[in-house]
Amino acid sequence: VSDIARRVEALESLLVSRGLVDPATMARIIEHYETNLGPLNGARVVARAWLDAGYRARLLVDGTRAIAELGFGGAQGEHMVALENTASVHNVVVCTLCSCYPWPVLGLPPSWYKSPEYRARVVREPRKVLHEMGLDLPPSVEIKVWDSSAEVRYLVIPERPGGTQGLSEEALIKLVTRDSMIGVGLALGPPPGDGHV
Amino acid sequence: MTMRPLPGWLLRLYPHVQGSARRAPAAPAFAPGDAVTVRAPGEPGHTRRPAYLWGKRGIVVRHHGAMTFPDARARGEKGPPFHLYTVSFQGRELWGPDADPALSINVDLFEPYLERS
Repeated sequence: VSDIARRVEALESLLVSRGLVDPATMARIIEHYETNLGPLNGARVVARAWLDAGYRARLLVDGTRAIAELGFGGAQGEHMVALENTASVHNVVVCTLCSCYPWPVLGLPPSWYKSPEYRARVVREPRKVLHEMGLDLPPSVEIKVWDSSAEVRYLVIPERPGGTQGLSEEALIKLVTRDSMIGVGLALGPPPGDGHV
Repeated sequence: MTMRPLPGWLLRLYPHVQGSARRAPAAPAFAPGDAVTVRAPGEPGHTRRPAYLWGKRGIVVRHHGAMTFPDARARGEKGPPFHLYTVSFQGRELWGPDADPALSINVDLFEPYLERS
């Protein structure tokens, strides 16, 4: 653990133990950042790519530009590359050297993404790591790990789940999880009883 | 909720002002398809060259243009920008014959880290 991480942890536990900060409030702020500000933007990009083949093509050629079409861009997203998951290829993203992450589309990285365990193991035994995270990929599926340790930031476009043909863009957005855009999960299935045919 | 697209002039400027893209001082030495080997660093100090790649062989899959060089920037030096590439390594090249046969590791590496192989 680095100095700064120890310092932040010490500060956080002091603030909590003296009753100056409510951990539940802190959790809500983090959740707000993760669900309202961050991954929702990426989910809009993915849902648009699912619905609009022209957009998907532009996204795969120039991620930064296509993401900006939807109004997203900024620090830690200046050089974006989109990676498309298919039935035969699964992409998963890591930063082995630190915690590089595409902030404009995903927000701040989850703590496991920054953990030495994830960073060391996902380049070496990704199938096992993904299994431990609840994602089982058949051995026939090729895994491409992307170590974003330099200037480029990656966004995974998960496969569009089956049974979602009738869903609107807004409904599709709800199926795109943060984890599916890092590549450690899949997009969610359609909600039950949604009424589409 | 309607999103307003970022204007084109801002997009063109952005990677250069806020990001690391810079005018290339020389033509790229490598192109997609080239086989390259990652050199071990000659001196200690900050680098964006992960140690698990030193001496390993991969294939260039994408060229990203020239960007500021973090190794020099960390020393407070201005230094020229260098071309950045994505290089693809097979799992077996990095982890030996027992590695997952359907695994590749793709890493962004600056030109000074690489030599033709």
